[in-house]
Amino acid sequence: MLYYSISGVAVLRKDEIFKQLEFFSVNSLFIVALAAAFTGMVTSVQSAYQIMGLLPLDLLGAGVGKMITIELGPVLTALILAGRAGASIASELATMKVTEQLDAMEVMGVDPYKHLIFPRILAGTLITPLLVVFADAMGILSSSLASKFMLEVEYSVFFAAFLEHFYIKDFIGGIIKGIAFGFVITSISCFMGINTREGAKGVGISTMRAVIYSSVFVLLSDYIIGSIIYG
Amino acid sequence: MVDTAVTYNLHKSFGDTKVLDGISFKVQRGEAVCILGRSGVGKTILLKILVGLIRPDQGKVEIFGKDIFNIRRSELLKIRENIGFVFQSSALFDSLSVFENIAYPFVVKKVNTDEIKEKVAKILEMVDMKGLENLRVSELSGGMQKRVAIARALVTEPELILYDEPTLGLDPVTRNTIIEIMKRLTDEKKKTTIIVTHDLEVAVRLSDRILFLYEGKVKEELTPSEILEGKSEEIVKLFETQGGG
Repeated sequence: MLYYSISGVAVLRKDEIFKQLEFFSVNSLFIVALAAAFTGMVTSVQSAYQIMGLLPLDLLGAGVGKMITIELGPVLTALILAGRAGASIASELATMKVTEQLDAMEVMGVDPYKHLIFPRILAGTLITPLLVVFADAMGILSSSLASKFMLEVEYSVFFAAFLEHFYIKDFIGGIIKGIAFGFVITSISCFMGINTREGAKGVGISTMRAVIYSSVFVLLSDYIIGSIIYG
Repeated sequence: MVDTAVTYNLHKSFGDTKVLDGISFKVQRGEAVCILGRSGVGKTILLKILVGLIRPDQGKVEIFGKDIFNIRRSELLKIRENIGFVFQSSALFDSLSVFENIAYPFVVKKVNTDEIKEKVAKILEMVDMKGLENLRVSELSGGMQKRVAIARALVTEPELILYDEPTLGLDPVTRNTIIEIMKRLTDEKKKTTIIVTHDLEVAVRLSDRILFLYEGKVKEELTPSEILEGKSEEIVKLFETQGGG
């Protein structure tokens, strides 16, 4: 599947790629923002609870910042995309498969790998790291807000600690994870979709498998990438 | 005459069920051949093998002189550009309009918009769907969907046209309309046509030659006039017991 998709570069359908870029980016922003905001706030509150008596709360920005940029931002974004975009891709392709629409494309001489699969994988791989950056920003902002209003840690203190302990490696690591997660989610979801069998029941099974396998492989690749970069 | 489609000793099984058991036949250029047989005999499987959608367990298929299971995928896609396939389910793109469905093969090849409009308008008129190009697929009846599917298969003027049960599930009036449209297109275009059906009237009215598929094999090969004269006991028996046609 990957070979056929990549070999389709020469005949990319620009409009399909832009459609998929929009689907992954604009349409996912709200849910990613919401999840990142609440995660940032709860991370502040719970981190404060964990370090209370052990470390000064002035260091909260450092710990929360690292947690969000290295782990929570990328993984949370990926799990949301696995549920939202992964399910959508798998069910759309699965429906096209069981209603013979993919076969119809094939017999017209139109390659579904080039016209449907590759644009989705490309869009997911390009957009996920950008969504990770957005989630990082939302998470850190909401975390600073929660720190200020619930824990009385001033913004200046929070961000000073964050910047003092921020390494570019943390940020790059998150981006690399985003790229890998985007690729994993779209590839698995496309694979599940185009290999669907048994009608409506099959569509449901493929969609469910796309979400489960995407999520599992996101966590697995998170461990592998994390071990390589930070291990 | 040049052979457009040739099959050699095709075998196909699904688990323990043997569907095709040594199918060999030739279809010459410009010929209309019907593959007739009762439901579940493997007609659709055979048609899908002919376009490379299903791989046979054994045997060979040559389309336009090329062994389609021993060529590169890009070559197979190129060959398919010259094949029109009308699916039993119509297989229309349900998120697109009638116009977009028919124009699809041109749009992906980036054909000039004016040319696309002209070709789509022409084929819509041929299938009696003029003025309905903006309807969504979900707004169409079964018969209309079938006409759009025929239009989509023929709009690129392919050399070989394959019909899979074109009249299945249609009411008698719509069925006659589809037969009339197919008859008109077959007579006008003179393209090589393979029709898979269990509808005896379709077979007799639209084909030059009829292959009777039975228990995975081509049991008999007859002309429409021979069928009408009742020369095949198998076919008479089939249509007496099944009420086919």
